[in-house]
Amino acid sequence: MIGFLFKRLVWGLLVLVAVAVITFFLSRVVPADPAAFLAGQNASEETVQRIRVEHGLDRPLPEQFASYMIGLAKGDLGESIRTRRSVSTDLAQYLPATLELLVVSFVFYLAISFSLAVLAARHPGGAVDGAIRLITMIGTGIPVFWLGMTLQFFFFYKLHWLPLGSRFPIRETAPPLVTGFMLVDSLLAGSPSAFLASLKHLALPAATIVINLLAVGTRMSRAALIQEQSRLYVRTARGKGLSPRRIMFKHILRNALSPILTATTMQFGYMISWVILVEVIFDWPGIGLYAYQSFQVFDYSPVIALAIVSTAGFVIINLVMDLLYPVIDPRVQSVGS
Amino acid sequence: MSVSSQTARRALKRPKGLLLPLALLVVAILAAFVLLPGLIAPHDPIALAMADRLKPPSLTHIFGTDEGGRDVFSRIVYGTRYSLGVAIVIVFASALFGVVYGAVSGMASRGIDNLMMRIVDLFFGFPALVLALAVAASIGRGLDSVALSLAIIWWPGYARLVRGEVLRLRERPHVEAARALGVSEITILRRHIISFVIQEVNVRVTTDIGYALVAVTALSFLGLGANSPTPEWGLLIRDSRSYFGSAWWYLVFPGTMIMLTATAFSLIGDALAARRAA
Repeated sequence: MIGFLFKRLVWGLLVLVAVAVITFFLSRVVPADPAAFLAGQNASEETVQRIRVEHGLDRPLPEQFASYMIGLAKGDLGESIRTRRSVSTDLAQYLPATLELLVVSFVFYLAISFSLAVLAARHPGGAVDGAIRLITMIGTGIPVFWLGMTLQFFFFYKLHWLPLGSRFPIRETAPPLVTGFMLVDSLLAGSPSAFLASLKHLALPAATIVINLLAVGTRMSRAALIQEQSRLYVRTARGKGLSPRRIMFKHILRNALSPILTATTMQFGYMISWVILVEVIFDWPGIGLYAYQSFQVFDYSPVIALAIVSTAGFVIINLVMDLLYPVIDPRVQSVGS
Repeated sequence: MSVSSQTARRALKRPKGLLLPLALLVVAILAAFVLLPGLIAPHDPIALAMADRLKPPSLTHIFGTDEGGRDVFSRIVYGTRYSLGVAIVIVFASALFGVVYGAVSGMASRGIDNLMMRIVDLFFGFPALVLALAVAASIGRGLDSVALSLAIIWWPGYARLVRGEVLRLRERPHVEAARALGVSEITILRRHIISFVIQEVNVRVTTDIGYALVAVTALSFLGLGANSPTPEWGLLIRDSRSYFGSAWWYLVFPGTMIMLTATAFSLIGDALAARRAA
């Protein structure tokens, strides 16, 4: 077990180093003159030269790489030209909004996808199964940005039920910042109206992510359940006269959990990617919107920081999932170590 | 085999009766859009006609007009070349590279195979689209940089698929027979392994075109792809953002096209997979 954990940790570190190498390459080697690039379009020659010295771009490449890696290890993600602050400071400010959106969406996604998969697997090939399959198939083809805008069109423009975007009504004062999670903060402030307001703002972005994930997720969970259903032990259980409900929840689900967990991990990767688009559409002030607004004005360090931070997040998720496997399926342990 | 497992198998691989012909029809229409846009599109996709600004769908403009008075239907027809074209280029380039990489890895010695596959695994450790975003942003705006950045994150899937197939096929009797007859490894790979692998890859390519289309339009939507007034589908949706509250058609039709196209390709991919399994 310890050996397995160690292996996974080393691997996670390797992924992070790889992303650091790629981002270094992207920021220092791809632009013909990184200093001119950093200085912006209308900078004078002196400014470019100053930036070159300031960022150590006049030093040899291996030396630059070393200091880049040391900086990264210390949490230095460079500086944003747009906000004139260090990218880590910016990220710290915008990250809670993204996390709140991700956590809420993921909880709902898990609950709904699980129920749908169970419903579909009850009678494979039946009407409910067919309907769920068709919906998930179409769902995988819906571009997430278009889905978000369509939801905005109906729930904001047509029905006037939900706000168009952002996290909180502009005219009202937001609850005092404690956790950065608007839902939690409004509860801590003891304000049900603020809670309701932030919930309303969260509804559409979260729904967009959930619907998008559901399509692929339900498809994979359903396949795992049906595969498991054809096993001999299920026939035995049926032969013993166990109720279908008991067979599904005590036997099949338990065994299908590993492939479902694998699918869930993959879904996390997609979610991290799609959240950028969702934040842009709903003007959700998270790290995705921050990166987007930055590269619209040719400020690239936030984009590169986003790649590093989200990879780190993904590595951590993968690690946690790896640790969960032996818990839900004891057979895995022997393979891992 | 028990009855229930038979049902289960059928449910997993059942070809979809009426949907498949519909999907093929959609692809045929798309092919016509790509090959003969001039014959199909009733209006110029680029020229401005400010008098017709943001008109709802009518007989002259079946999908309505955009903020420049341009016919949305014509823009969609001409845009197929960009959106679907780039998606196809991405998938084919990734498949080609992935097949070569996977085949080499599968035929190579244990050590090299291990190293090559660890590199592939690395790519599954990144949130792919974010990486593509960073790459595309660094190279600069344009459909070519969108294509390159997505191909970079797309090929590892093929490498993994192909390598697995090669390993499986290498032990098959017909390959062993060829080897016993003294056929060279290169010829075995080319004639007796790749020809089988290709069938598996075809399934994946078909399904992936739809996913790649969604990814291309997503990056375009973020402003990394084509420049206005190129009628690229993702860009159409990006442009519609300022107007869709009052001009629903501007949002609805390009998005529906992406959805229909992606669904059609994944249906056909499923059907191909089902036929191979049968």
